[in-house]
Amino acid sequence: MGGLPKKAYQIKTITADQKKPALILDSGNLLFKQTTVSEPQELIKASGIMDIYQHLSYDAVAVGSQDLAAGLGFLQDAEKKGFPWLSANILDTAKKPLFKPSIVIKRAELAIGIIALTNPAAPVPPGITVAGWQNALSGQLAVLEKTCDLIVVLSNLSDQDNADLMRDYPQVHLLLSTSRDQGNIQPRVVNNTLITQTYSQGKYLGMLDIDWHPRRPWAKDFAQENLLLHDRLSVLDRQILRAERSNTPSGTVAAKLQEFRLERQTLLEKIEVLKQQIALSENKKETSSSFQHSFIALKRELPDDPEIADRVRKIKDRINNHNQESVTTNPQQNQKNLPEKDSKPKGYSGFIRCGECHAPQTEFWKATGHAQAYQTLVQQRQNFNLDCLPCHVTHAGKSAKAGMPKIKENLVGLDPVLQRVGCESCHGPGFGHVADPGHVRTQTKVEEKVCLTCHTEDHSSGFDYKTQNPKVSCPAS
Amino acid sequence: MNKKIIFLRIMLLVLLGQPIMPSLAQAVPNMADHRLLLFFSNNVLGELEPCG
Repeated sequence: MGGLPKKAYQIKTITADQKKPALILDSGNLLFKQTTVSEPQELIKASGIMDIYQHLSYDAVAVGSQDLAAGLGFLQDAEKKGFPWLSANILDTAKKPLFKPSIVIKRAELAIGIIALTNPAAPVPPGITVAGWQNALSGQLAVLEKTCDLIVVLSNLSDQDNADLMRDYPQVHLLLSTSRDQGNIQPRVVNNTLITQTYSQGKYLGMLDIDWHPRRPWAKDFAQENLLLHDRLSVLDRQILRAERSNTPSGTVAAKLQEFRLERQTLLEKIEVLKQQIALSENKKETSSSFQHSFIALKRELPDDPEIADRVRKIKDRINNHNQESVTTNPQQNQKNLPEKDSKPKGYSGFIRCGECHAPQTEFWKATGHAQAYQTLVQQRQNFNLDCLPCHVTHAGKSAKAGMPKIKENLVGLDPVLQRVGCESCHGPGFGHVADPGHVRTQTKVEEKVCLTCHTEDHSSGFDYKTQNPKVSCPAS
Repeated sequence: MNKKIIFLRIMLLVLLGQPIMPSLAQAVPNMADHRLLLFFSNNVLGELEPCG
């Protein structure tokens, strides 16, 4: 699930349907998976993503520490073309911000101040200074709180820093974070600040429908807490009933019963206090700002925006063509970097050798989707795309050696017999077994973890080993 | 009739046709209308779309 064409469709459709002013923000780590760039195709993709974001009229995007992977110049070039990068704490040698630290956007008759903070603790390329966030934030707030009705922070900071920020800076009304471990964070009000974020890799689009009243804080949501307390109460009631009905009175049961009754009493008192808070908050509703939220799961079955889908297709074509050209124009240079002169990676033999002794199994395999895995990429003109290749060939990225550029490992000289998900993808490299079948065995039973190398939630949503494994399990010898 | 008087009469009619005070709605801004849709994302990590 996920993808920019689906995100674009949702943004355009919802904005048109609801006829309300919209603000589109991203809190960073937009462009790269890692803190370094290892392949040119990552730059092609990153440029394409920035083009699409600009086309979708994103209002502000925080520079996350991973966005710096290709260096400052890469982001600054985009900024010159109008890309709305923000960071208040990436500084030059004179301690001046290298990007716009904040912006003020007028929308819904509000002046909305947006500040971005980059994580100073995360690794960044040499020569880039990410300063502490507190001074940068204080400086920006001093200006914005005088003129803005709503203040938003796009935060690339750690969870602890976000907690400190919400404790120490109640002027911040909304905090959009980038915590990798947390996935979708249901919006919650901490002190005076509403915090939320979405799951990573663009699988969800977050949406807040805000009814903002300047100088009126967010309404606290007591309903959720009330539900939790009542859930616990019903569990306790059942436990008390069971203990009271127990035919074997003993010291332990009596002590437990006493414990349950005490907890029940405390719980009832809490519920009573909460009832009063709910009643008060009902009266306060008129004087509070409020929001409704949704995390839109960008599932495969959702429609794509045709214009953005076309842009994505062109970016993928550019990636494929670039990699293909780099292979065909520099074959000798690439060959030099191969680990071995053999066209097969070390340890692999290819399905033809397997078929010499295991003919029925190989014939069975030929009729499975695994045998056609590479052809599906050829049909989509993605057979040079390093993001896709590892799971469509035998071996590839799954056993790529550290330090060996993926493009050479995967593309150059890879024997056509390995351009498919062959026998050795599941049973392991068979070179040793071919040479000495009497002594060297391959893995006959394929465990689930082998399948999950490629059939991940990202690429093979809903994969179920028990139902899928029989479809590709070879007949017994 | 004097041309000046005709002109003044026409001007008077035009002026009378205009509202003298702005309406209450124009004078007081609509304070309640601050509804805003906010779309947000994070950690896209270079994903264009899932592999097919």
